[in-house]
Amino acid sequence: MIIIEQLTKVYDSADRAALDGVDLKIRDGEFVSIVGKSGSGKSTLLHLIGAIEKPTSGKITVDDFDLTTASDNDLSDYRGRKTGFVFQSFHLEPNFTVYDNIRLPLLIAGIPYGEHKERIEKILEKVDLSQKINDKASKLSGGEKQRCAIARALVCDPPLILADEPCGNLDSENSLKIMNLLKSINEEGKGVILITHDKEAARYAKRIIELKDGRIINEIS
Amino acid sequence: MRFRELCWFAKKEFSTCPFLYAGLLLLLVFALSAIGMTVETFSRSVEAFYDYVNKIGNNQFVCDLYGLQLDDRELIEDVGFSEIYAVDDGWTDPLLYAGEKKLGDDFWEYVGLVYPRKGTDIRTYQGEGFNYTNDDDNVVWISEEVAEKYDLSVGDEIIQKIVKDDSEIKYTVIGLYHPKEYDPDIVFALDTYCFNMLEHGEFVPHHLVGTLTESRSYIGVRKTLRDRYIVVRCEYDEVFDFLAIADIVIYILSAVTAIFGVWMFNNALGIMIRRRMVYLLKLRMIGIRSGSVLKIFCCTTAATVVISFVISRVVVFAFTDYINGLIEKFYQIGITTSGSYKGFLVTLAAGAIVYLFGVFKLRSAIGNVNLSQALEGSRA
Repeated sequence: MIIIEQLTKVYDSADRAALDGVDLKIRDGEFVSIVGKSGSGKSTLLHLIGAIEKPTSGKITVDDFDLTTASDNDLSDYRGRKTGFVFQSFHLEPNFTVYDNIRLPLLIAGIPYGEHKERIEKILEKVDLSQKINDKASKLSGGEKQRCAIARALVCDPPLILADEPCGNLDSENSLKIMNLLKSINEEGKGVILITHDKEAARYAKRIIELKDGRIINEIS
Repeated sequence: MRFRELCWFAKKEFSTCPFLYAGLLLLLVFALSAIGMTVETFSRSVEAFYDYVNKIGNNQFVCDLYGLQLDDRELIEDVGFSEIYAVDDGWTDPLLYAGEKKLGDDFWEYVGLVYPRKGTDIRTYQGEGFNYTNDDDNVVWISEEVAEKYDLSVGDEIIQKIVKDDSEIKYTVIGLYHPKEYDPDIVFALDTYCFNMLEHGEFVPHHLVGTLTESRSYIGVRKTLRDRYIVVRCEYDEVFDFLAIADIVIYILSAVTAIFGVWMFNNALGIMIRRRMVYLLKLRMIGIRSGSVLKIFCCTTAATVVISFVISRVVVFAFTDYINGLIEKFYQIGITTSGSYKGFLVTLAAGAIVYLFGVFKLRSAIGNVNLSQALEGSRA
């Protein structure tokens, strides 16, 4: 369970709050879409939930783990074990093969070497990328890159997937594939928080939260 | 992060950015080689000089202690001389008699003074040798020719007349010898003779000499003696003075090169970190701790420094041998590798300094990473 209380984020360079006193609860295994225009604070909210940045005030707890007071090392462990990030711009290492890109979280989490191959092959099969296992990430198409990024996010079996505009750089066919993939991930019991400004994509979620000027203005279940 | 994972990441770093690390390596090889070559060529040449001096002096490096007399021995007994003895500084021409007959009337006699403890290479064929050390006895050695001419033998007396106070000193002949060319005809024990003359108000010019078994210790002994206001001289004083100055200059040069190396290497590390920032951020986002990131880059930096060190040693050996070969040929002195350890140690120290400053640079670069802000600019 993610509990967000009076969450506020003000950037040093900004004249107004990116998030302004947001209260929110997200249950385990829930598929939530956060929508809003550019600058509404949706990415900031995701970064805060993902412990990529710290709030100015307020509190976020994930399964009783307080992200606002945790140490840098604890936050790193949280990112590695509890969350899987999927970004619009993929954030793959272009010089690494698909195999090595997906292997990175396993190495960081200290998963025994013997399990790596099996886990990676299994996850690649799931995202339909088995045939590209030895290809460099830079050689993949946009859709393949995003599927590789999803495989990397899933390989450590985190309970929560954080997807920031995962279809932003994809054509409609690949977007459909990615959204179906996220849906199936959610159906397996993992929580998914999707940031999007695409209303079609948002409909895959069971709950849609709309943000404007750093505040929640609408919530549809 | 465990060692195995650390090695995996480090290996990936090298294979992902081979040119970046090759540049770092090359830079460091140049700096360390420059330091190593400067110090090693110099120290090997210096060691060769010391060996040369030891060899020609048969491990008896002679230091003249001008101003010190026989009774000043205790002033210098603790400084490390293997031997201390006196040598005369002037012409000795005593008025000697064998009975009533004046020595030197018929032919010119050369009188020598020898310090008994030091001895001489003259060997006696009858009586006591020149290592006779009973200071209380007034003794004299005479050549076979003098013995025959004045009908003297062991146990006979030679009388020295002192004109100044109209007195005389009796010396007993205790040994006869066959003189070689330039050997004196009559030899007195220097200390006995000096003290006898002093009692009669005459001064025999002499000074002390100290010998060192190792010329390398001369600089230290010289400093100790100078601190005691004792003048010490040797045949190679100018060379030692030059070496002392050159030593300082060499180490200053090495320090400047090391500082330049640190500065260049740190700048290069900064460039490397900036180039790898996107990758670093990706790792941070998928859960790596900043300490582990630091470990990875410290590991790659350490490997770069170690490899650079090894290559620089090879370069130094090759070039130093070549340069020393030229010196050997020009100065005709045999240069050994006995000074190599200095070059090794200085290069090692320079490598360690470069690495430590590199770690500080990495710490500040990695520690200052703001994940969210950097995320905005990073696109794969």
